[in-house]
Amino acid sequence: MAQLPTLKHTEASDGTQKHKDYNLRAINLLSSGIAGTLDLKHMMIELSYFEDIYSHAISGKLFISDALGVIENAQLHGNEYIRMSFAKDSDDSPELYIDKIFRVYKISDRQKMDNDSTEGYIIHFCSDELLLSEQYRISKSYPGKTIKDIIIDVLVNYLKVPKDRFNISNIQDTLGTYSFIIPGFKPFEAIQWLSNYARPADTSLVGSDMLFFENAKNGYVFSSMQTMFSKTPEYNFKFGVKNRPMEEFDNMNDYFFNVLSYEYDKTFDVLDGIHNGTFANRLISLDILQHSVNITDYNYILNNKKTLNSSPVVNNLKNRFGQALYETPEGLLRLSMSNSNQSDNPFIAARPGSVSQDIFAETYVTQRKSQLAINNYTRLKIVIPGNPTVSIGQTAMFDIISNTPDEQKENDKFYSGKYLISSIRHTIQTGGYNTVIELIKDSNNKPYNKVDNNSQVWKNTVAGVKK
Amino acid sequence: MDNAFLGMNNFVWWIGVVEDNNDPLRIARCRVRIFGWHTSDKNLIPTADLPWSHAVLPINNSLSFNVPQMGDWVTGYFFDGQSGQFPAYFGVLPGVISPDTIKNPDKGFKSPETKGATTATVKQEKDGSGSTIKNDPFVSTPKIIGAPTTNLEAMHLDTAKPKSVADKMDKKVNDILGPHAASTGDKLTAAATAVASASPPPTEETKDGKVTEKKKCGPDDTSLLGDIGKLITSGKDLLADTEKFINSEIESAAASAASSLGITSGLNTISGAIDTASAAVSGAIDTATTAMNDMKAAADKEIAKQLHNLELTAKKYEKMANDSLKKTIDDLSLESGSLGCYILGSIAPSAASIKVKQPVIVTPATKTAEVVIGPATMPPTVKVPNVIPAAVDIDKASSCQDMSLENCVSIYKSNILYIMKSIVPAFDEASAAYESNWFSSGGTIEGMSTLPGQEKWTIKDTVMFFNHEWTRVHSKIPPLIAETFNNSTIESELSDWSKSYTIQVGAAKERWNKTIGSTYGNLD
Repeated sequence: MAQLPTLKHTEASDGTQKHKDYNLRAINLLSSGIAGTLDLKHMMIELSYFEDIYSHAISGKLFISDALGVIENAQLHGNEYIRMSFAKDSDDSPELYIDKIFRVYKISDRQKMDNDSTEGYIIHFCSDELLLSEQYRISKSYPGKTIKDIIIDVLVNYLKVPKDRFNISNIQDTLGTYSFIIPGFKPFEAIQWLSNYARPADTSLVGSDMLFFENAKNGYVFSSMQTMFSKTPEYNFKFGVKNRPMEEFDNMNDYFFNVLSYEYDKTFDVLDGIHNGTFANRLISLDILQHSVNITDYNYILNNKKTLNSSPVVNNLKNRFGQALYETPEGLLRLSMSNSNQSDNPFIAARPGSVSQDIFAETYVTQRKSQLAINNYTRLKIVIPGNPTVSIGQTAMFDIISNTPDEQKENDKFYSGKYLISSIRHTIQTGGYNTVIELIKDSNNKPYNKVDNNSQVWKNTVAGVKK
Repeated sequence: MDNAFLGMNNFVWWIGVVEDNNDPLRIARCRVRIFGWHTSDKNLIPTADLPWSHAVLPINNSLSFNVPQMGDWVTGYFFDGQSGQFPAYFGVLPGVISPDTIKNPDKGFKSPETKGATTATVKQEKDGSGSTIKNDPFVSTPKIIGAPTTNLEAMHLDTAKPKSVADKMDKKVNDILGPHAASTGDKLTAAATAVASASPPPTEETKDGKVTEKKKCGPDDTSLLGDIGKLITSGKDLLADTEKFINSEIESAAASAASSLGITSGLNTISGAIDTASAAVSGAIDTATTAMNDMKAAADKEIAKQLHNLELTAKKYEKMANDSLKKTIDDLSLESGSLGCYILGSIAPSAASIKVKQPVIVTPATKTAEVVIGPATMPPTVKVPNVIPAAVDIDKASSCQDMSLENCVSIYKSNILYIMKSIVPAFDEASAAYESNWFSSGGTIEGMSTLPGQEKWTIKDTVMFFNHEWTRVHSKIPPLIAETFNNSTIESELSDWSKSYTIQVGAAKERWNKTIGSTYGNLD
């Protein structure tokens, strides 16, 4: 990489590194209106960089204070590129940098600033593949292919993803072969659609929980969430006594990964969980060729999927019908097509080519619905000092001090534990660099106490009897 | 509920073109290339990769259905909504085929061999609006250049073909029996009657003068047509029985109603009876229809068989006639004058050389003629007197009054045999071989005799001696053969025959070796 001029920000005048330091090497704009490139970092008020495991591509925003008339002079109109490169420190090795080329696609919030000579606006950018994906459609058959093969074909032939953004090892093996026809979907749309059917080839990973996303560290990734769950935590985020001075930290890691603030977006919502089939759901699948009907019920407790922690998020309370949350599949009822086991029919088997394919509906529809919901059952955002090495798809421990009045502060039993980093936002401002991390988890460190469903108190209460 | 619930996942309907209607399961499924969902590029989506579209059949006739034809435009929907993996079709879209349509088997949205294809980029028009108009199904509907032409074939209205089995049967019967009979049944019955009383096939003269057998039902067709007639009778009987059954059901229902105590129950009974009768009528009609269809199918099949048999019979008779004519010509190689001797096709046992190739005329002046009928190196001679030897009793010669060609030939041969035996007493020695070979080889005389002091010799083919005395024998030959003798064609053929003499030698040698060679030694 060519040496780029840097914009180094330090809070302390003595040169020591502070937790909000950053090294913004470049925000270079390539536009048809200018010769060469234009470095925007000195006009930058805020840079926001966003990754999410539920998004196909990285995106971001650049808040500009412009006194040079860049929009006019650089002729910004959406056909520009921005290369940005930043790290924690100028001494960081190249792999610790986020260095990526983005496509400019929009300007918003354009307005006059305090004085008449300055204009403020936001430049929106994203990975170029997102625009490419919107420009093309795939209409192609893939007879007898794994979903992994199809996704690789899409990335290579329909998006032409550069090698540094695509490594086959990041596309996880999938189970089963299919004969799909991608019916005119856009490339990312097609991958999203295929993800619904995909099951990890590793049979120790049950269900269907595969996601496709992009992060700065690996480029494009197609992975089972259970595979991500199995990774060793790379960070240990702690929220302790607020605003402790650096001297009170045992080591610098703790200092840098000290959680500045946290906020739970979602703790538990049983009503939503029932409605969305988180704990149980049912699939009725119809085989119109054989005139057969299958009913598949999903039970959250009986499912053997790998989890981040060891305990379920609900206990065994039974309702007045004697059923627990995970025993009422009709909470979410789905009806779909199926062609499972058609080839076992001797009449059909004797006629090659009479069956198109098996989509294994019974093996993914119920499980995917529950798994994606339960994996997102607990969600919080934490803010840490800027750290470009943090990436989505990693796991981290998050310790939150118990809020009990005990003197001996221990970690919260149920909300501390292992989390998956589902999204990050790097925010670089003139005032410093923060990273906002979204953490999700599907399980607890410790189980909730069991209910004695046979006790009179519980029986009466559940039945609505006041005694 | 969410999008994974069938019926609530958006109703996605489509239009496509049938590219494969050969469903291995025979349940009317088709492979349809769907506009906007499947590319026209068969390299990307070959026809074989298209999913089977399930047929949505009409509720009032779900057991009888014709699959759409290749190239038909059909409309349907996806069971799985926007996933587009489970298509079903419920209708065919008749159309008027654009004359602009071109064939391109590499493109989709058409069957490999037809007509219904409206694909491929054929024209581009830039109108300045920034749009490019292509005759590509992905971009726009194909333009129809010029006046649309109603294409009956495209609409499957093939008026040239019979519309039903009955029509087909009528057509065939007409072809065979002519259009005079009033109905198929009458025609078949008439045909059966005609066959039963049929004599050997009559002949007719064609324009070029050839005699051919006139087409008619052969003897084997009698039972066949009889069976068809029985089938028709059976069908009529079935209909009559059905009518009787219906009437009896109605009467029974009426009687039941009359005997009922209450009006309501009576009405109910009548209603039930009517239902029963209706069901019976329906069932009877179905049964009758099925029986009629079976009959028609059987008639169709048997008529085809008859036609085939007729062809075979005609060929057989034609061959027989040809063979017979040839045989007659072969056998009756004879003189054209009152005096003379034709030696026709005489060969030696080991015919290294043949001295006599042309007829030798025996004149009254010479009285005798030396005829070489043996090996050139040692020719045996037969001195042929020009008078009939006393041993020959002319009156014992058979006479033939039968006009039959075969009989005439037979009698004539026996007369010659008789005369030969009279001339050459030793002929009796080989008479068995002589006779058997004559008749079995279609007129070839292969006899053997041993003349005193001579080697074995053979008389091959017909050796006939005539003089004015022997015409008495000749006179016994019926006029038919006499006319044949005088026919110039025979003269011509005789001449030709002598030219192909060497072939006769080979054939005679082969016959010799096959028949009596084992007894008298094979010829080299």
